[in-house]
Amino acid sequence: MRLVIGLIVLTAAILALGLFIAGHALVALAPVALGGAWIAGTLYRRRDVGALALPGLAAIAVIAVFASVSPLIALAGLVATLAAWNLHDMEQRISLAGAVAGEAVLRRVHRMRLLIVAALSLGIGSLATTLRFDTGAIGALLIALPAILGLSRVTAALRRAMQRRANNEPAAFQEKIRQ
Amino acid sequence: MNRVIVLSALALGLAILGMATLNGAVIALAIAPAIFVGAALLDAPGELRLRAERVLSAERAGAGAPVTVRVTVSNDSAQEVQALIEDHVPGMLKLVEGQPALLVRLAPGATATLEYTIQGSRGFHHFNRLHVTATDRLGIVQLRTSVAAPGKLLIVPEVMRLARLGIRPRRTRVYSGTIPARQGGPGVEFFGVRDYQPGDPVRWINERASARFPGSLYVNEFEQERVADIGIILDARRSSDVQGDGQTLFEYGVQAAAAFADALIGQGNRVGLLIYGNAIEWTFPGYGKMQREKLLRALARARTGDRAALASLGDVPTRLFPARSQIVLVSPLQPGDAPAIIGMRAHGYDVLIVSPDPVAFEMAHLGAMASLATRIARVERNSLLRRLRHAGARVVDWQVDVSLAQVCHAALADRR
Repeated sequence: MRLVIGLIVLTAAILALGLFIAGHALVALAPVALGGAWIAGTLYRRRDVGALALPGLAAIAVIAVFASVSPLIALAGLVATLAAWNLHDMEQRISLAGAVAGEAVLRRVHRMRLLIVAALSLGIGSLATTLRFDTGAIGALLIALPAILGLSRVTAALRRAMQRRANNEPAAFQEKIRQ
Repeated sequence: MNRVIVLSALALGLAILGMATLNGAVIALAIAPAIFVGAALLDAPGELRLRAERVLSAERAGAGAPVTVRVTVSNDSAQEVQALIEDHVPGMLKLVEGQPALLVRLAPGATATLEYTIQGSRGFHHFNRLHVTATDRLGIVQLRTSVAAPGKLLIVPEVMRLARLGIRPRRTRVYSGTIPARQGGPGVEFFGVRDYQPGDPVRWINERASARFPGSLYVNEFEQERVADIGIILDARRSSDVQGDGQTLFEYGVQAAAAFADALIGQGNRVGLLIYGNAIEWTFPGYGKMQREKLLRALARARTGDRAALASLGDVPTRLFPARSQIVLVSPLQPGDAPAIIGMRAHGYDVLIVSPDPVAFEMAHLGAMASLATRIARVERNSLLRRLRHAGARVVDWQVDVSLAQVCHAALADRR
């Protein structure tokens, strides 16, 4: 749990510091407030706080980019947010499971994987912030097309997931078990 | 919400926003969640081949006795599996120790054991399948499946030990037992005097009677003791049941039926059971330990019901019981039950009523606020019991806070 809180503090600190240095002292309070709410939610075992904090801090990272904060700082803030969200999720799964076999190994494997993925994200993302190429309208359209298609697929999947939840998935699962 | 969808939406949202605003730095931000999703999809669990075996410390237990459930899950697939394994504990069972869920990382060929202890109320409890949620190492992609792990647990009702019950049905069977048969012959209790017949043991000769009539010999006769046919009727009509503070009077009825079945079979009698209310559940009469087990299993399954066709005791199919046999009716009794019971007496059955007192049971939960209603109900019940006693039925009026053994000892002590 200390690691989760540490990562949330790091996330809020990176984004707040970036915004503060860029001269947006008032906006810099937003990641601090969100980070504080997330930490409080973590300590009081509120499951929904993590789900709200992730888009909130991601939005602040985007705002930071538009507010002339270095893209590297915004990227570092976003990667730290994702890492904190994933670690918080893992902590919740462990605490909800009741019993955990080989907890130390499970945690070690997860942290190792998270470290690799976060480092990769930071590395490739940093590279992407320095690379620049010009494209025309057709090129932009060709790049945007898969993104739009992907977004439509994600939206459809999201709608299906919400529909399943509305149809009371646990009851359907119980029925399946009975059969 | 699905974690893959959350991260994908974030990545795509950032990419589209970056393209819309022609801001490369925002597009670069989209790379981080995209890499998280990509890494999770590359590591996603493939086809799961899990096998589960369930072992219960006892497949038959008494009410309230702890039973340990051990489920061993084996990974038969070629890849390592990280999964949350959850077992579904049947609703009537209560978890007393351990957890029915286990988060585990299973190497190929490895096994994990889920162990917990439960206890519960009487009944047949069926365990079915395990719910498995396999994830990648980051826990982003989830694959849900279930694994068959069948198991059955029978919890039989608590059996109270009763002392020898003094019952005297009009007809007994031919085999020797413990119930007085109203016929002379070998036995223990004095029955009468008759003429000496060749073959009679010399120690049976009644010297006083023989001395009074010189030239004649008289012998004592004893009352034969045989086994009897006994039918236990358990009243499972919902209208007879009284509930309060999570307890039901029907459970006491089940306990009484179990105690009588155990005691009467223990005396060597042929005992059958009719559970009347939800349906007519008939356990054919029989002797011995197997029959005891059959009766306890039937009682474990007993539930109250509300069938219009079985609303009155007058519809009890008494022809299931041999003529002039003993009937033990376990019922809180309703005001309209008297004619049916008097009818049984008229057909020659010896009727013993074990009646858990619904008035005392309800009063214990209502307290003093219903004192007038309690008095009226008490008068009605006493009047009903008096009427049944006058009709020749023997009544054990059982206030359930007193031990049944104690009440039966006072009311049904062996009358020999």
